[in-house]
Amino acid sequence: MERVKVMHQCGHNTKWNIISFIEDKIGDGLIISPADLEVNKVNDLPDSVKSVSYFDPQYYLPTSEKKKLNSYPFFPKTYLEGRQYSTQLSYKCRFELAKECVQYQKNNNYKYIVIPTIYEENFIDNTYDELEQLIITPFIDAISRLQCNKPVLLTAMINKNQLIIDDMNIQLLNFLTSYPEIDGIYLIPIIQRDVSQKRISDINLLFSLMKTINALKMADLEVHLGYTDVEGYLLTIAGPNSISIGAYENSRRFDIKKFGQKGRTQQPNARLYSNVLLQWIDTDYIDSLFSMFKKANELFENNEYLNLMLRTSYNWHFTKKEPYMHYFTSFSHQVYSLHNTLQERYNDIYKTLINAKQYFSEISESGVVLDAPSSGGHIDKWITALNRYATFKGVRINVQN
Amino acid sequence: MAAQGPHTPGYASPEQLKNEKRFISYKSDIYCLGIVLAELILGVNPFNPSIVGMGLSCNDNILNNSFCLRTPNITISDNAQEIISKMLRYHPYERYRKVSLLIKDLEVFIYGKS
Amino acid sequence: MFKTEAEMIQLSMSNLKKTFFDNDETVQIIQEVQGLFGIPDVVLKADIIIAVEYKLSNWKKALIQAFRYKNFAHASFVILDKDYYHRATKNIDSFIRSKVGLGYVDETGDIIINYNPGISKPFSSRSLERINHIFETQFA
Repeated sequence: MERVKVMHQCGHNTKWNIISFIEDKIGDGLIISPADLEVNKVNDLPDSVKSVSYFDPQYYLPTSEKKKLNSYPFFPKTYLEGRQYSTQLSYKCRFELAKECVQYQKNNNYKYIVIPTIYEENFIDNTYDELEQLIITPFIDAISRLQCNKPVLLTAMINKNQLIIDDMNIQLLNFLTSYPEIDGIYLIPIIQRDVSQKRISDINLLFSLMKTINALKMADLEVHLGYTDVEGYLLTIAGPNSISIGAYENSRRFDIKKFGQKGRTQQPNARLYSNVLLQWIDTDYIDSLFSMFKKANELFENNEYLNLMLRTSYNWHFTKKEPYMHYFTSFSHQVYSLHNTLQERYNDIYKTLINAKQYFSEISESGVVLDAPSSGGHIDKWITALNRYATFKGVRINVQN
Repeated sequence: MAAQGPHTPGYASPEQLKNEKRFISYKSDIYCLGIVLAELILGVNPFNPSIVGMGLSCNDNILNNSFCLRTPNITISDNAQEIISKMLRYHPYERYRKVSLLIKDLEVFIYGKS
Repeated sequence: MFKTEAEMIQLSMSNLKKTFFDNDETVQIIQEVQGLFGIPDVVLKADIIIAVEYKLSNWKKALIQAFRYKNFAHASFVILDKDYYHRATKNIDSFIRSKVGLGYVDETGDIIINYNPGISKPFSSRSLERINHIFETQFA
């Protein structure tokens, strides 16, 4: 097993990711988001950053009117000037569009060339054929024609049905592994959740996602997970090449609405990441935790950002950068500390989960009542999913007392 | 039984037998090559009921993923079995994804290096 | 006993000052206060701040919400429908641990408090400032 890399999933405040990567030296690179960074700003990034990063063309919603996306000449809406991005276009047109996108990535010397995908709510039988004709074949042709010598990632979105329904999962895996021209998958899980559920708690879903990552790795493909949150830590057991870290929640959980018209959304409460609890804690609980729970100072990694935030004068707000900078550092350290053999990594993650469970129990005993989005309802489910996968891989598992 | 696509009986991949057009690709050829490779060593098709038992036909054994890489007189080495087994995986996604990867494994097997 | 929470709140509203402040006429009351951690059904202010979360039966949810109000309140209470109150009393330890008060509204609208956690300093001075400001603005 290799060390899992941590990639910054750039979002609304890309500058925070850049500062964290360049100044704090956190993470292994950036996943550039054209929806959040105009083309001229991306061009200004240092070569040393681009060469370890990759560019996500974000064709998810080809008709998106987002200004920054459309600053890229190869974004479908810009390039096609009113024509629909579909297989009705001539192959020449689809190829030329792909060629522009690939040329751009090649010129910027990114670590990978990324083949995009479009967002599909429901996969039907001919969706794979459509994707192949519309995007994959033209892009593979363009990469070959331009003699790109960079490894190639294919973007793949994976929904709940494709994970848990066997036939659909097999179909997806057969599809993703049928292109010898690619080197890896940029895998984006699309998992719908209730608004109150911050963590994925579906054991079957988590286990299926781990198996899918494993199946792709066994097919000699790199797997780079995008739009992951704390779940990325658990998923490292399946050996992905990288997981992502993002600032705002819409860079830690894929939402197609990000690429559509900006609607009015409720402002979220500020949250602070606890590496011990494997959870984002609503900052409105910080005072009660430090008042009632003796070990509160053990819950959050003690880095430079924490000291600043715990000053009484600090004004918590979800738009402040410190909670995210703290999380980038804290979470990355947690991932980098994992061992690189399957048994040892299992032991590491298991130990962290048991520890989290114990801390949540002690918090409850102290009298602090956390609401569902801040609580540890996911921990037992994660332990089960971890053990299920470990058993599947023949790893010696631990049993909870 | 569902309609079968064009194939050579006993040498077709499961997806060819099930006529799953979407999944018939170079990986189906790798599967066929695996059968031929095993037969060259064993002297009999690895899906042949005479070595698999169970009394089903070759095609049925393919659909059941039942094959045997030994006869009463011949055994294939563990390393070779690993290569052939990977070529004969039921689902295309489990087989060699690139021909170059198969070549690499074969070179290591034959020459001890890639 | 009550069909809705609103009905329970309305019937008991006139008894709030009596229950928590011995009918002190200077007590100010605001309902459904926005801009805090959670939205308390009622907040009373005199020399101290008291928050109240009403629920017909869901004591667990009420406890979660009432605990939040301790950020700005000197005391926080869960008030349930008398018919369902017994469900909460079985778990009185949770209320004691969290220092959240517990009571019920009866058929006459009287509020009976069976567990009073006493007064304690709100967790967040910033939240206390905010609620005081809200009251000042409302009653200016």
